[in-house]
Amino acid sequence: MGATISVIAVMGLAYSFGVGRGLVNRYEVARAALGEAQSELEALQLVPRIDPTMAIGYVSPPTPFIYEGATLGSSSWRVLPYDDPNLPGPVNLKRVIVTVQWTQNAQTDSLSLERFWQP
Amino acid sequence: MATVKPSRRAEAGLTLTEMAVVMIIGTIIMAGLVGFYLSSQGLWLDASTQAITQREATLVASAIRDRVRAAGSATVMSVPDAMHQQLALFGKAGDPVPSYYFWWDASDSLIHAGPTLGGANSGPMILSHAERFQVTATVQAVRVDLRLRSASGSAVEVGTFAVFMN
Repeated sequence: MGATISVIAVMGLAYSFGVGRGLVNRYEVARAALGEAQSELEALQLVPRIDPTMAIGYVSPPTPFIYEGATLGSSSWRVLPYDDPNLPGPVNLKRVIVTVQWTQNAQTDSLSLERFWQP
Repeated sequence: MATVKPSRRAEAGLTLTEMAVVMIIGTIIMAGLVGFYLSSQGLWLDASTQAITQREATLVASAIRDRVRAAGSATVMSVPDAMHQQLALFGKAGDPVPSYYFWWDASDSLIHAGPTLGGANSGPMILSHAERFQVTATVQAVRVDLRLRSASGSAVEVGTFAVFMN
């Protein structure tokens, strides 16, 4: 009886350690993807507001998301209209959304960051 | 009246050979379990140290981004080499003296930050050793690429880009 409980406890602990290790690996790429999205949003700050790539409705072509030399997915951004009720006019802000998608160990993840800009 | 005696076989119990076989099998099973547990614990320790390094990498990237946004210009020097550089941030473009520094210190392989190089309010930002601290600065923005090494030896890479807002 005691031996059975010991075996179950050890197997359970080992399983939880393995799951934790897998999650750390998953979040490692997620952190890199977050950095990629933040950098992309920051770089878009340098694009003039009148540039066609900043026009409402624009969807950028995907660019590769590379981590540690391997292409894990892609990154892209899109510009949507936004109506702030406290500002005059129906479309008074641009909503820029950067999305990074990646696949790791047959599991697909994605994250999006957005920022509002004046037209 | 006849006395009932238990059979000799029932009194015998386990022989020395049987006991030895049982103990050897039990020892092998316990050794396997302990080895399996220690191996799994090593996996967990490796994951924990790597998670700490990941958090530190994110912290450094965030701190640099915030400082760059508050700055107006920057200069980069390859000190001590091109893989480990020094970033000097100026409050406004044209300021004669930098207001903040980020640099890699060769004495401890850590990333340091502060208003002066090695001054009283300067010191290491994190405890993970940095293998790469490369910076690219233009008149509008700064790009930093970082590779840290965790205590268990795993590498963690992170990059950040920030625009001067001041």
